[in-house]
Amino acid sequence: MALTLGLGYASGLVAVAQAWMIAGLIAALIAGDGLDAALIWMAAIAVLVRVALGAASDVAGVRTGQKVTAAVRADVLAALSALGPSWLTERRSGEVVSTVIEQTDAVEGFVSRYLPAQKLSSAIPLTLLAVVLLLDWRTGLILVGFGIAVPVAMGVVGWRTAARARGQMTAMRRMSGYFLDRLQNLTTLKLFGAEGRERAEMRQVSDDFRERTMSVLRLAFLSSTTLELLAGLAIATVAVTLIAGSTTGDTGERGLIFVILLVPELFLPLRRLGQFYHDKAAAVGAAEAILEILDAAESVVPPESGPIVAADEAPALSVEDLFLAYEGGGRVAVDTVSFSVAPGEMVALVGESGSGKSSILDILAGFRVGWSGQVRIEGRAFDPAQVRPISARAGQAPRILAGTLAENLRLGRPEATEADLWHALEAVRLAEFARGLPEQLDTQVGDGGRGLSGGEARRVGLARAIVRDAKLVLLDEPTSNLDSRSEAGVLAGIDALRPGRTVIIATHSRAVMDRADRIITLHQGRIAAPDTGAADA
Amino acid sequence: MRDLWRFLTLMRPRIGWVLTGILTSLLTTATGIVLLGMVGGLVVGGTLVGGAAIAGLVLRGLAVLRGGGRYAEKLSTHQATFRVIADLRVWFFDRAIPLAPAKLGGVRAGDLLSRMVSDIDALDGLYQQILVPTTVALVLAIPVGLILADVAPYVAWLALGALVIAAIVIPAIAEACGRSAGREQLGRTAELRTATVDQIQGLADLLANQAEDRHRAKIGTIERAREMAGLRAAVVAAVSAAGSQALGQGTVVLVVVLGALAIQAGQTDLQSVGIAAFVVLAAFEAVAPLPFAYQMLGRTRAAARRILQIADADPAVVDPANKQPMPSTTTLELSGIGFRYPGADRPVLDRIDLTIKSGERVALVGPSGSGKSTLLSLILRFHDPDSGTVTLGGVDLRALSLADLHGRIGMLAQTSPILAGTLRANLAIADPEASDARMREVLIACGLKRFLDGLPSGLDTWLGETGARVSGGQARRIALARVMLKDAPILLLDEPTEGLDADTERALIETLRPLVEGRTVLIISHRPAAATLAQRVVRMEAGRLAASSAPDSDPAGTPGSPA
Repeated sequence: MALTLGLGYASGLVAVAQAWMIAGLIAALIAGDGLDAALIWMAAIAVLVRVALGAASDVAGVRTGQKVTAAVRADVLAALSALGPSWLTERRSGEVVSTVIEQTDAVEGFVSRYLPAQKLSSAIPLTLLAVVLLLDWRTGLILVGFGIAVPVAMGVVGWRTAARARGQMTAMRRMSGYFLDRLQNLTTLKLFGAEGRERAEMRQVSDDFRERTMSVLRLAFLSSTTLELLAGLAIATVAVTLIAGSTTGDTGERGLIFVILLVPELFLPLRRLGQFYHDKAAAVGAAEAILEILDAAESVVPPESGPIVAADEAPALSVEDLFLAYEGGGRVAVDTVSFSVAPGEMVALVGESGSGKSSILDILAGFRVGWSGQVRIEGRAFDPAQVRPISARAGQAPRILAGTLAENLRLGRPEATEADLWHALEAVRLAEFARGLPEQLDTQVGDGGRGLSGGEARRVGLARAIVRDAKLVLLDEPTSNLDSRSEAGVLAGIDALRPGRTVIIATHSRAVMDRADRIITLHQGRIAAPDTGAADA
Repeated sequence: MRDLWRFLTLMRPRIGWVLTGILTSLLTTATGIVLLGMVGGLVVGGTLVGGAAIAGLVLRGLAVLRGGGRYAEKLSTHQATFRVIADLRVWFFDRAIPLAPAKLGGVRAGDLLSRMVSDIDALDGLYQQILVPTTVALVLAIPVGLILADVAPYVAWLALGALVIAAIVIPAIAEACGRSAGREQLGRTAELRTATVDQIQGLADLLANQAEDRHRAKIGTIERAREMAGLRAAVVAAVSAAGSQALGQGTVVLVVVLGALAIQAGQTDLQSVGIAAFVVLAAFEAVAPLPFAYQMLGRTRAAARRILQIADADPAVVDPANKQPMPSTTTLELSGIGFRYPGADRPVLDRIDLTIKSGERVALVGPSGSGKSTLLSLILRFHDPDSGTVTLGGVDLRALSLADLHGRIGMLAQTSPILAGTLRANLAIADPEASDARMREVLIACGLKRFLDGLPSGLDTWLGETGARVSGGQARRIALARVMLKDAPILLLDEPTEGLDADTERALIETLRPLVEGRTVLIISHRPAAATLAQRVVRMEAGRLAASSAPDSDPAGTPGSPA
């Protein structure tokens, strides 16, 4: 920032020298004295130095803006991670994506253009004003008058900008959220013949964004126009006054032309400020969404890191009085549930859809906030997020990330060997499928698992857990959506995974229940038949 | 360039705004040139006709006019731009719909979003920063040349030459130097978006695998590459702007010097030189934004190409030119069907013959990957078969309108897509006119009574993106309710009871039993209970149909309907 300002200010000073030389040239011309070659060369050099300084200042500004933007983006992403998946499920991810990308990008224009322009818009004009005052105090006073009008005009124009800019950024997020959702569900819309209605909605969302953008720009343009106008009037007034005054001859010819040339230079930084005003408006609007995320993350207490139980043996796990109510709705998802799992034991959580199985697994995976109760590993209470180093999890809808199949399988253990990956694929009966892929493990997969069917994605998720080789395994409905042959394969995978590990599975599958050491049945968030001894029923 | 021309033609519906923008810009710039020319005459010449008082009034008037004009110009060019951009978004969506799902398989949704949001946004420079100033520069070159010729013809040629360099040569160089940086910026932005969508939608998997910080580091790497491309673009912009600025100021000095020589030679007077110098100053101000605009042209063109990649892609299937009327019966007949996915080395479907008579219910069973879902996608005409025909009521699907065809079919897919929105909005996709009572009735019929009663705001409860706030089983039943609300004569059910526990499955089957009655139904399921909804079970193995049989006896004890 200092570099940007220094270069920008220096460029402003060179402008003074340049104006002095050109004034000399013109004065000589008017006096009929002919041309001074040295003066021409010096003027040319001043021009070059000036534009070079200006360009360097611009580039330095962009670099500063980029650095600040990258830092903000990193902070926002870190905050989202701290807030976790449950916070995100309450929001449209397209909106959050827009905050991370477009709205954070708005910071760059603010830092690289608006802020330097703002600082220079007082420094350079004040310096030039001092020069003018020394040469011709009457012109100086005229300029002081116009100068006072500048902040007043800006204030009048600017007072509603913040609110409108927030409206614009909200509309932009809404648009991004809506578009992403609809683009991800194009096929569904098509099947229901809803294209026409969605098209109308899309038109409305786009138009809303356009109108809000224009309402911000109208103010931004008003401010830049006001500044242009003030600049124009000031130049005209000074020119007319000076010409009238020059007949009295109290300012030298060169001084007169010099002052006239300085006036546009004096207003140039102010005009630039007006041009970049919308950068400020955009940043002010974007700040709301960015701060919402950063502030929300502030309240999240990061789990204490540090040594937890040894990761090479299956741990004992117990939960006490787990309780979770859905946000806002008041509906209880998990109602004072307590149970314990012995080292190496496999426990199945069963119950009808919505009975709280998945919520318990989410709590154990550290995805939920606002729950109460205790989670203990080997008798010690932990924040579930602290348990992650020793746990693996496969959910109902594993995300296949943009990247190769191998990268996806290695997600939980980057150092896993290729043999590990094939072993895991073998275990979930995907090895044959993987061998049939054009580039086998190096085949690109990703984005919502497109390219992989739902069942294949599910098995990749389970294979990931196998590759991860953690001693506590949380599985959320690993067999649903698989045909019987593949289900048998997954069951074999679970059998392979099981020795030496503590496993908790939420399931509907009879075959999985049969394998469990114990079944815990949930009904409306409570344990219905605690600790049923046998796995059969 | 042809790509950009396409977008210029797409502006035609907004021609009024487009021309208003160009016109106001032209007038404003011309006013600016006159204003500065007068100032020049005044400064050097000392007086103007009518004396200083009138000159002062005229000057102030022109200054106000220019300020107001600048405002009107900005408003009208931005109105034109944003109207065109809103049009383009809808146009892009229209173009993308026919491509789903067959032709969009390789495109990530995050990338698609990037095309629809930032690539279309990147086109905003096309009109405002390129078309408008270029037109203005071309039109005003003639009067500026005439004013300069008043000093001396060679001054005019020289200044015009410098203007040509500033308006054409420097922008062209900026365009060439900025092209690769612009393209890379755009590509990196799309990458950044895809990775961010992964980070946000896949946060659970990333956290559980302790891969979250690694993935964030990956985003950081993309960000840095994007920064470097941005910096390259900024350097090109700054240097070319500096070049144009230096050229402008140098030309002013040169005009003064040459003017002085011309005065000495008695060819012209002082006032003409003063006017000329300031006119040149104003003219350069008018072309000053061009280098920056053309430096962005590479980005704009890359954006145009990315948009057209989707918008001009050939859909896998198209509506026929001569649509046959919809047949009255709903008999589905597949005969001699062979199908291979593009790029696959062997066909997924091989010589399939299957007839589902009007009102008949058939279950299709078989291991995953045997081609069951592909068969459904042929009935939905997401693809056309490579060989053989699919007919509905004796008419080839290729002769029917896609909208009519989809209007006849209720499809419950393997995934249960829940749109971000309320429960009501999700159901209204199937029937926007459905009453609350009707929606409730269908939800209850799909076994969602208790779910519905437990919702804080009933039908207006927000379901969360991809149904994140409902369980897998609930999502499936909401999707089923949507299908039932559509009330189509043909039902395609792809694993309708997956993810449901045995009791719920039984209940749902019993709910479905009256609903499937009288419709033409194809069920894909490996669960014996679901197959009891069918009158006939067909097995599929590796793309071929195997045996056809009556449904197995139901483990729950409900007798299967006779074949």
